[in-house]
Amino acid sequence: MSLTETPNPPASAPPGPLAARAEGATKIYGSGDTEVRALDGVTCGFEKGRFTAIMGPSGSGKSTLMHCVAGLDDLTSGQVFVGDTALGELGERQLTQLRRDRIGFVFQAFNLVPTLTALENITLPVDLAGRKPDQEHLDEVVRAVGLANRLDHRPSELSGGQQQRVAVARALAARPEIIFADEPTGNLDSRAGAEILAFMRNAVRELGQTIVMVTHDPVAAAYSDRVLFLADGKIVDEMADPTADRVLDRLKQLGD
Amino acid sequence: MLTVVLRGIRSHVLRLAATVVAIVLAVGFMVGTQLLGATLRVSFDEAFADINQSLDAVVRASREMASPFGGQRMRIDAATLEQVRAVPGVAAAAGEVRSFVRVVDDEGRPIGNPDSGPPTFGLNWIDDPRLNAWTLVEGDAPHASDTVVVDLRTAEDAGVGPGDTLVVDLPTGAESFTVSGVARFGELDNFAGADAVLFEDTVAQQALGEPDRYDWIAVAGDAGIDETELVRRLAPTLPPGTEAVTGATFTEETAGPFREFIVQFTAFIGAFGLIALFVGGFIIYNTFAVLVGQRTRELALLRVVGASRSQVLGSVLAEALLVGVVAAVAGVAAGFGLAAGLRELLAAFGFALPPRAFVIEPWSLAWPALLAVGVTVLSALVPARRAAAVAPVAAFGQAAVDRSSTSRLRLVLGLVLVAVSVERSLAGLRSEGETAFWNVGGALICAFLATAVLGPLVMGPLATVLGAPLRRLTGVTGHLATENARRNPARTSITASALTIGVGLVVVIAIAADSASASITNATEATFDADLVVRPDSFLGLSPQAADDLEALEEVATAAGFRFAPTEVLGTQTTLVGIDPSRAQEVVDFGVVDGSLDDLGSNSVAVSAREAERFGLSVGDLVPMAFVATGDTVLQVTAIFEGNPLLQRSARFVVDHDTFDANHPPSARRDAQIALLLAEDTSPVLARAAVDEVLTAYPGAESQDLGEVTAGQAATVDQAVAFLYALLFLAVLIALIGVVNTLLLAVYERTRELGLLRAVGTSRRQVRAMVIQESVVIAVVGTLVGVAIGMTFGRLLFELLARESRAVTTFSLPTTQLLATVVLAALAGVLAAVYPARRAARLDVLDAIATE
Repeated sequence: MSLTETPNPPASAPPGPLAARAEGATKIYGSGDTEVRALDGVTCGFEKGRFTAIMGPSGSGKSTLMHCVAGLDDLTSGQVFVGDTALGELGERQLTQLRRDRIGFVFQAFNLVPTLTALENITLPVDLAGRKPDQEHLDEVVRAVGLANRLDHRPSELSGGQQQRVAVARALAARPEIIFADEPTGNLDSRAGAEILAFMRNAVRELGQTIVMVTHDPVAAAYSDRVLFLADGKIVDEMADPTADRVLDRLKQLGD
Repeated sequence: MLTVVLRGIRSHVLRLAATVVAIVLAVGFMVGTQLLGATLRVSFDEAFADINQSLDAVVRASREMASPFGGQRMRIDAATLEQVRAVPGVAAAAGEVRSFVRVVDDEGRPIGNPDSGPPTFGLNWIDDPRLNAWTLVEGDAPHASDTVVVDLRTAEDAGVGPGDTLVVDLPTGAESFTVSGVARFGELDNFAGADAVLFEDTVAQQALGEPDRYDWIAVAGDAGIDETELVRRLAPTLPPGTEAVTGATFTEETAGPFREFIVQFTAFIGAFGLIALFVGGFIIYNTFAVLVGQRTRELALLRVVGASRSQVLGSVLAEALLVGVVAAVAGVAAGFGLAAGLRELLAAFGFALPPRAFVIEPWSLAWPALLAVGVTVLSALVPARRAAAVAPVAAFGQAAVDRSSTSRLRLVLGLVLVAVSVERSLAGLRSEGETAFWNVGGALICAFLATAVLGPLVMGPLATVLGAPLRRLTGVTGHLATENARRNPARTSITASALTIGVGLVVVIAIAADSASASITNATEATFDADLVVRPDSFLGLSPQAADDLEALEEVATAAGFRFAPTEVLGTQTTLVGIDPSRAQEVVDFGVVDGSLDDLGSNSVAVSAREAERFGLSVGDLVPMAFVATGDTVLQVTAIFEGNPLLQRSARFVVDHDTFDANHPPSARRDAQIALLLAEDTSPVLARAAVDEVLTAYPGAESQDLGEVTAGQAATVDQAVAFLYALLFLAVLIALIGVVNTLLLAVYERTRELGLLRAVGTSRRQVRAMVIQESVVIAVVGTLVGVAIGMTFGRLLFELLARESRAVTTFSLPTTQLLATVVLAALAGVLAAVYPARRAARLDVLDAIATE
């Protein structure tokens, strides 16, 4: 495949068009003595068609950054954009619509509605919008996740790995501008985790999907094109074409 | 362990709210009605005892004839009074006279209670204060023949006082009197709810009863003489056919029916509290089942750290006990509030009760509370046993799946209940009288229990069928709502079952009432050929002159008066009707099967076919009968009539007016109904106007056409039905609280799922719609099953009623009402979901996702 052989642009190269970005994003919980700065003036961008990992120790603000960029949480100050849309200016209803139509989600666990079948879960955002799913695209996604014979099963009848594959398929099915994955392999054994990660990377390379993943696992981060390192609510470093060992070293330094 | 229980309650106090509300409502209702019932009962007992304080004995005719207006006895000779006074030990004696009268205002309109309320009595004034319960508050006793004393309330209603003129309609005709005074009856402003006019002795005898006769003689004994001893001394001196009873016996006879009525009425209303509590049990069961389910890990953890099974069982039961006790105590308090409110309400409707503190009978407060606690603990027993069965290992794994819905035991138990219900229904159809009703009632309870047991098995398919249109209409939210309604079939179906009970009972009543109304309409239309009916507003009846005046109108072809009295045939109580044979046959189709009504004259009687069969009578037979004024007589049967069921029931033995009048006091020689046949080629409107013009001379008389007659009777049925609905509303309300409860518990339980749905783009509106649609599915399932059960048992009840009471003959299905019930249920479902839906929509997405 030609895509896999194309070298990734170096981190220092001027960034391509951005799927989402944050400018001076600051999130403060509490006030006075109990004040916690979860995000402290973060400015960053997530390029289209690339797989970005956000890493950092517990409490570094990586999940908060993701929640804010994904429109699940709001900022104390600063601005986040999905495409050219400034999220801070959107109301509750518009945010919901944004999440439904332009963003995909994969959570660590409890990703699926237990009363719906695998297929119904996959088409949920499209159904919620009251649209007909794009059958060709849907077939392609389903084939890619390898769940064609499990589509009628309820989540409780699927293994953990299969459930996460359904979750990824759901995120892909609506053709969102960007997918946010929050520790998507956190609950899986290493083999099932590797499957999911490879699948996500393929989605980026073959379908041109944009994915942002929060993880604390260097092996998972190694599947991404670029890693952002957060500590104490600030971006402290980034790394292009990461490998597990390099990421681990970097994390050790951050831990010091 | 107690600490665990208390902390547990505190942590999910909101989740227990519905349970508490259900218990408080049911207990409050039961306690409130018990409290008011006991207070009414004791108040009346006290009032009667107070009024008859110095009454030691009563002398009266021995023979009593029962009638709908209380027992009627022959009057006794006034001369007996002197004989009684001569008996040693008698300190005072006075004759009493009582009859119905009507007070009329300046415009000729009757004053007093409306026609269904307590009547207005005419009494004689007794001078001896030892035997007079009345106390003058103003003016003097009625010592002249043209003066009267009225009770305080009548004086206020009529706006009269001493010196004013008052028109009183008497059995002998309307007369004008001067008010000499205003009086109170013991502690009361009126005659225990009724109005009263008191006349001078001789006037009372002539106008109300019969000259030189008294209804009974009241006797006060000398100080120190025992009531029984007084009666023993009186007895031998009395003429034949006369008896003496103690004051206590007399008071008991007067107060007894009142008390009996109050006791039965209280018990009847209390039964609806039991229904409510039964429904409440379903909610309690659901709440604890969900709490235990949600706390599986916590319970398992308790097991891990060393709690025994019985300790876990105990902790859940202790929680139920505590909740039950707290709610029951609050319910008792609410009962006091309800009783106070009801007392105000009664007062506002004119039924002022004697001022008195509530009568608190500990047991009548304790049993609803204890029952409620019992129901709570019992309802929590199954969930508690499930909690005890939680394995310690569950602390580390996934919560167990609820498989109770598919158990074979459930199916077997449900089918057994269905079988018992069918068997009891058939037994009900085979048995007679009260037994039949008990059998069918038992069958109904079994049917409700079967619904609750089998519900989980059919809930899924039912929800799918009902959800199909929702899915088509609203797409994915309808789909999610339907799936949610069936995901916990046990819980959903229990919730729906609670509604099934309320709706089922409503439908049974609706069908019985509709059939009764239809039967009345059919019977009235079949009985009367009359164009108009004239009726009085009270037991006083109409003067016979009214019928003659009406027949004298050229617009009126026939005016037939009907008089009613109790009578005895071969020693058995039955009803006597007095008619004018030629006029009555014009307006009523008697359906004579043997003999002829034209032969009805002095000393002859016509008998309904049913009574003829009962007493074995045929035309030409001599029948021994007894009448109120004249006692034993023998009449000859001249006709037997078939009529229709309504006629059969109201007219059993029929005599002509002369025979009727000859055997009854003047107060009874009055028409309870006049049926009119209009002259041909007369405009009904003009004829009616002419009739009403004549009736202005007869206060309280009102004309009705056939439509108004049936509408009036149907309105009586409607009133009774409205009352029953009001009582059933409690059970339906509790069932709806159950729906709110189930939805709220589901929202708590599905917090993460809701968070997920919101995260992937479900709008708040869609979340709300989803919860509301789930609620509608539950409500409609419960209602449809209730309608089905109600229709089955409504039909059964009709069969029983048709057999027991000949008044119910036509089965009628109130289709519109049944459809309205289902639509209302759907609306109630929407209403019940408002709060849970808002909670679900307001969940913070991030918090919800983060929830464990």
